[in-house]
Amino acid sequence: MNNKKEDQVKKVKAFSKLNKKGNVVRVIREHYLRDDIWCKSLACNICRHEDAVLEAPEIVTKMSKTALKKQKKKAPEMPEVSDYIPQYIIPSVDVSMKYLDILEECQKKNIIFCETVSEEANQTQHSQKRKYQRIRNLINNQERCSILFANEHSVETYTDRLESESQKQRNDRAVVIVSEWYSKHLNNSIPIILLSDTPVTVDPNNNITVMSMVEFVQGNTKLMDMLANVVDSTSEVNLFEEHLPLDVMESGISKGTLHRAKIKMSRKEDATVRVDGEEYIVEPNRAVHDDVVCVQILPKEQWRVPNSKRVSTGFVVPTAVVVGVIQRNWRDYVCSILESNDSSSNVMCVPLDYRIPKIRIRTNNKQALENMRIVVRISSWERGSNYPTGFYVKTIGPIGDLNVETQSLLLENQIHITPFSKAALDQLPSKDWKPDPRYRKDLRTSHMVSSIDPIGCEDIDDALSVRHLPNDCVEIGVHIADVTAFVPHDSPLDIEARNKSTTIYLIDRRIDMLPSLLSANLCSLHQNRDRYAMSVIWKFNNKHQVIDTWFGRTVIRNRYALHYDQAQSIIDGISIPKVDPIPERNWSEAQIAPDDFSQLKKNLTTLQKLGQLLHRARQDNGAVDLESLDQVTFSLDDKKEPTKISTKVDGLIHHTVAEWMIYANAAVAKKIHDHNQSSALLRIHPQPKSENFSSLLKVASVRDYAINVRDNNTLAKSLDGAVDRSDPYVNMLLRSLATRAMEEAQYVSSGSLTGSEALRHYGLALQHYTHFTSPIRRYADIIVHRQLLNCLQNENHASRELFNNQQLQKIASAINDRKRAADRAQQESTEWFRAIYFRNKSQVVDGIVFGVKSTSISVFLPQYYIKGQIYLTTREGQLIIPIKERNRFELPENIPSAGVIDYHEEKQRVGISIKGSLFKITVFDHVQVQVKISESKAHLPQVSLELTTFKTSTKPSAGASGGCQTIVFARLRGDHKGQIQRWTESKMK
Amino acid sequence: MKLEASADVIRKLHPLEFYKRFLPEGIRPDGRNLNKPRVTVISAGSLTTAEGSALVKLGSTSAICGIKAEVTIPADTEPQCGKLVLSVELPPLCSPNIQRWTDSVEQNSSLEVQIEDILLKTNVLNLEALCIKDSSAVWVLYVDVYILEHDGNCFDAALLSVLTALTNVKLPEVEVNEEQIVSIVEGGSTQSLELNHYPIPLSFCILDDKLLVDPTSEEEELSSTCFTIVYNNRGELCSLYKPGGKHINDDILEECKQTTLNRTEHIVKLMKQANEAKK
Amino acid sequence: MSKIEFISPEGLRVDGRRPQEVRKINYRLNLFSRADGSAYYEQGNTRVLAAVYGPRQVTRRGASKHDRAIINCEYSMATFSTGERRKSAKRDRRSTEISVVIRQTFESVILTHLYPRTQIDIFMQVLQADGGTRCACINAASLALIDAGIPMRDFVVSCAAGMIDGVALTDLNYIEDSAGGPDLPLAILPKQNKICLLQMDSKLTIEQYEEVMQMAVEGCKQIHAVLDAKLKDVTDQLVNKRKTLL
Repeated sequence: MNNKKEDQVKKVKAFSKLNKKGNVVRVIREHYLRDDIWCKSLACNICRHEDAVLEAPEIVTKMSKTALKKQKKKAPEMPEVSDYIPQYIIPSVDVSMKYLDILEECQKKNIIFCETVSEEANQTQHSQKRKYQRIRNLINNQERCSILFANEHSVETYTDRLESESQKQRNDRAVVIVSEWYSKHLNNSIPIILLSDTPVTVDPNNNITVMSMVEFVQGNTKLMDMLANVVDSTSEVNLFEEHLPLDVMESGISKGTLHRAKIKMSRKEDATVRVDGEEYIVEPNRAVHDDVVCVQILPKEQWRVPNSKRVSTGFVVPTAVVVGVIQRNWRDYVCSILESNDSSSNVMCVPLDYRIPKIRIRTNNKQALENMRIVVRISSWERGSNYPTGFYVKTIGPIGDLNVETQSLLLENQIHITPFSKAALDQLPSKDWKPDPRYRKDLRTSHMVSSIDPIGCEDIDDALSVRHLPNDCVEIGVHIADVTAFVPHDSPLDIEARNKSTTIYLIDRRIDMLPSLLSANLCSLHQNRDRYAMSVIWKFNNKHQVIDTWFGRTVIRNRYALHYDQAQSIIDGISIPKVDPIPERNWSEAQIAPDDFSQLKKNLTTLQKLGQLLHRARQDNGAVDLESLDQVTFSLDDKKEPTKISTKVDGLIHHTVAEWMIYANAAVAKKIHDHNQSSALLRIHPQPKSENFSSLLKVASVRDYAINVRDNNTLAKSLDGAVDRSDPYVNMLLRSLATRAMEEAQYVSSGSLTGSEALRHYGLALQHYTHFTSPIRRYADIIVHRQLLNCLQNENHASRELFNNQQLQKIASAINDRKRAADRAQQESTEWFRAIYFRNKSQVVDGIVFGVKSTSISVFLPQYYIKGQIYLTTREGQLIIPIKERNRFELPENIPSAGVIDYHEEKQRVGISIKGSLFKITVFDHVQVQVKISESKAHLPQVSLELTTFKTSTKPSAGASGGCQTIVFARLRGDHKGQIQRWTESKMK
Repeated sequence: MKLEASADVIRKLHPLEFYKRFLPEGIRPDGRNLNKPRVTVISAGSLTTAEGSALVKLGSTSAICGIKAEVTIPADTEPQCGKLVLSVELPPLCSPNIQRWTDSVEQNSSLEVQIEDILLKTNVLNLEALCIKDSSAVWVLYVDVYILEHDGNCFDAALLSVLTALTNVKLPEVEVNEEQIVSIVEGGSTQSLELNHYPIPLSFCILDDKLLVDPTSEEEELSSTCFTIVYNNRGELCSLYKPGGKHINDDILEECKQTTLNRTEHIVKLMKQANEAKK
Repeated sequence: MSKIEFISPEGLRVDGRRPQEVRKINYRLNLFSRADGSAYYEQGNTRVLAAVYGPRQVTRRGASKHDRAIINCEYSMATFSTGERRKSAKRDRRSTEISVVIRQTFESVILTHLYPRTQIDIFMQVLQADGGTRCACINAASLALIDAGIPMRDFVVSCAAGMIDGVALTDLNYIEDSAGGPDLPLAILPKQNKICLLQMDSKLTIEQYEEVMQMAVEGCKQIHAVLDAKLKDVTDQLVNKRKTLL
């Protein structure tokens, strides 16, 4: 370790600063100058750096003629290589601040950022996503071969501010010194380009060229467009209030006069912010959805009526005003061009997301962008402009094309699909891999293992085994595909899987977390193949209590890969029709040997019975069975157009399998948590806040059902009692409203929460829960597998965990975010296909009302599992007349609504009077709904609902409800948000 | 044998006798004449955490003064005046006689009162210069003196350090907006303080009926009375401080006043040099 | 407002040091004539004065020990020593705690049995504080004791280390100290490799603790090397002046 004291020169920086309390304090800082700041160039022989990044020239023509001939003989098809002399680019402070976008986009390599620049970026009070972070990202991108040169700390390039110059001039001079140093240091062998818009003088002997930005972007149209955008707009008219500077906002927040909040835009309503639990409406003042803004709450006299209230109720709501933006959270936006005949190069883009304002970009290539989905980034929003300014990034493809829209969806949710890298694929074993039974328990002949999955399932990650032992004891095993055996920790494959975090199931395609060789073949527990597994084996005594639990690595052979209906039919002894094989997935129905039949039946029956006992135990503890009523499957034709929508049916066998998976997850959670309290990856489900239940309670009280939301036990029991014998939907809808009230379940590192209450899973009523049973499609499960292995290998002493608490919490948060994004993408994909389905098939279906507001009702269509809002009035407050009433009373489409609508919030009822006839719509009424789609080029098509008549009935109508009779109290149990994943997988009929 | 004991022993056992050997010769054990003050060394700006600082050494007596500035609301009665808060401390490390903080409380307080009286009553500093914004924000200067070494005559060293530190103070340029939020002007100038006059002190003591200028601590202990005279650089008498002790004649006082007056110019020059050197 | 990057990806801290480097050290001995030993010690921007009086007569009769000297330590920070003025609470709790800690450190190192019924006073005054004042005071006191000629078992050197963002750092300055990570001041006897003083606050896993401890020990060794080198010069000068070792 070098003690550089003799070489260091120490400087002291002293200045006055404002501290948090608003006092002026004196700050003194040391500033050491070093002599070991290396140039990081591969072309340098002097510096003792280990990780040089900047490229070195490759001189090829210096090779001798014979060497060249040899090379040509070896690879005759290779073209002539010429010398490659890299250029080192050093941007000045101004250029880096103003034109960072261009530097990022220009794809040039070997950019040297001076520490002077990065310090300026770190301090800048710009409210955009901090430039410093962007510079870091550019440097971290290995392909750009760029570095940060710590010139402020290098004894050779540090310079003091002279008396005559300002701080700014000093910074500019510092950058010039860096360029001169580099040039001299590398003996003029590499050309240095100094990017500066202000005139600079350099010593002509060095190999330095000074370029202005205009010269730099010459020849590249895209960059030239971008350059034109970054013009200082000094508009005369200021349409918006100026944003406060950052330190004023900070001091206001610490004093309490201002507040920090995230702004939420909405399609039809005002923008809102949430401060201390209260919601306020705001004028955005150039804030974009998701930005972190600083607001000032207005006094009561200045509160106003929201713009979007359809029927002017005249009630003011709490209002605030945005005084500044603390942090911009701009991302890439998918947009399409607004058509116009204007031939100027200014083009307006409409983002796919309704909440984002239109963006103005400049391009000379308007024709090529029409009718295409493009990606646009925002660069700024000046006071004088109604819309933000941005620039074009790339084109995705024509609007309406399935692939293009799917990609847009993924991009909007910030899901980037990249193929697996070569490094990752290189790690895969060969296709002829055979398992090695050493160091594992061999269960291939001793246990009859079978799996139960949907029809056509390729990635089987769980299997079950049952062994009946003497004394009425039973041994149950849950065997999970052993992914960690193929994916070492921190390997390239592991890191890519971590970045993906989950397999994404869109309606027409699946984006795998692991390469298909693993997910669909070597890890998957295919029938009659020997596979690695992680197993949990319990021994139950004759009183159904657990007397032993064993965890470990095993080798298994899945004897029978059954599908759900098949398994249930074996238990019930009822035969069902055979299912046709699906050749493209290599799937065919399992044939059961007659000798095995009785054994299999006994095993499955035991599984089901024990499973029910486990479930009852959880219910006694307060498990809540919930319904979200939004999972459907689509049947697609060859052109990937949807031909049929079918809703799910859950049978007893589904719940059996789910229960055993939950049991395994809980056992593993307890094991890893006991071993290591500080960094076990668990899944928590916090107790919902009581205000979440307001709509459920409102609706339930109409029918006089008393729902007790004190804890999960009372909620479960009272939901069980809220039944209408004549209408099964009532209970389902109440459960669905309860589901809406739930908090999100999430992954967490156990050390980051305190108190045992915090780790509970509310919905499942378990003290500790985690995800263990699906490592093929969830990264969290892979981490849990590794933690379990760690725990088994170090039973008796604490061992070094792979991740400490902080790291694990970061990873858990990242997984939660990716999961949320994946769920949203899946939902949007479903919406898209649903809309396409109804495109030419507009029809009238039965719907049930599950919420009533003053100007709209919420309906649920059981045939298609569609939930939506039907507005009773237009934006201007006119009553919309359904077609039957229009015909009956000879009325136009809309009439003024004054005095016509009578709303009872408590009774959840709205009454409408037209020409003397009175209509009433109450919650749980059945209505007739017309399903249409609203087309729009700029946005994705959406399903829209309309009433065909104001007449309602209290019973489901016979014809229009289609297949809903087959729905038996199908209650999705368990961690519903997780289990639903199983469903959207690959059930294609 | 008593007479031939070493000088050090006699100094410790019979200090007065020891001094009586020297004084008639007109010289003191440390080699000075009776009317010669010790060499004064002044340096400014050594403490970077303080807005202004100074170190003054009078022989072996050293005092360091640090000034910190804060923004505050002015008093209602004087909305345009800044404030000055003074504190003097003699930490135990300065003298073997002080072993605990409590031992020096009396001395601290009396020094504080003395210096504060001179600063405020003779208007050394124009407090209105410390005003940032009428009735809403002014500077308050916290002046803290630490006597690092006490070898007699702390008062002189302390007062000189305070004056030098005041001239060394650099206040950043600040502005206050309507919501009473203070902000530092980027790239603003620093404000220096101008003293209206420089009151330069000189302390004396009477030992065995002889007048000694700038006594050391040993001499202070043996003296029958000690007093201080302060003149400023314009030749005006600022302070006369004789807190009790043995009586003296009028003519001795006149002599002392003259000595003090003669010294002022030299000291003021030293202070100015110290500030120049810092720049 | 920027979130401070305590250690840049290039491996540089806020002031330009690498994680294992100690700040620049400067010191002078024998400043005060009235004190038996004195030292002025600078470590980076932290400046400390230490004065030693003793062995001398015990001031409080009851406290004297018949077989050894009692050590009395007082630590105090000047009000202008920190960026924001400290309210001059003369005996605030932190100063008392540090005084006690330092006293106990030196009680074990000074050969007190050589001076029964006396008192050795160590006074430390912090003139400028920029992190690591406790350690700087111990170093200054060591030097002052050497200047006073009081026999000790070994030099006491002290250095603090901590961990920010997962990286172990030696000799934290005020900004790094305020970051909220763990802080571990350590004082050792370098030749014997023994620990005199060890304090730690905040949470650390065992592995992190090992790392930070190692850093602190290395820091102490670095400081010892610097102090030792100059001390030899000073002693040489004194010997030359007196022309003899005795």
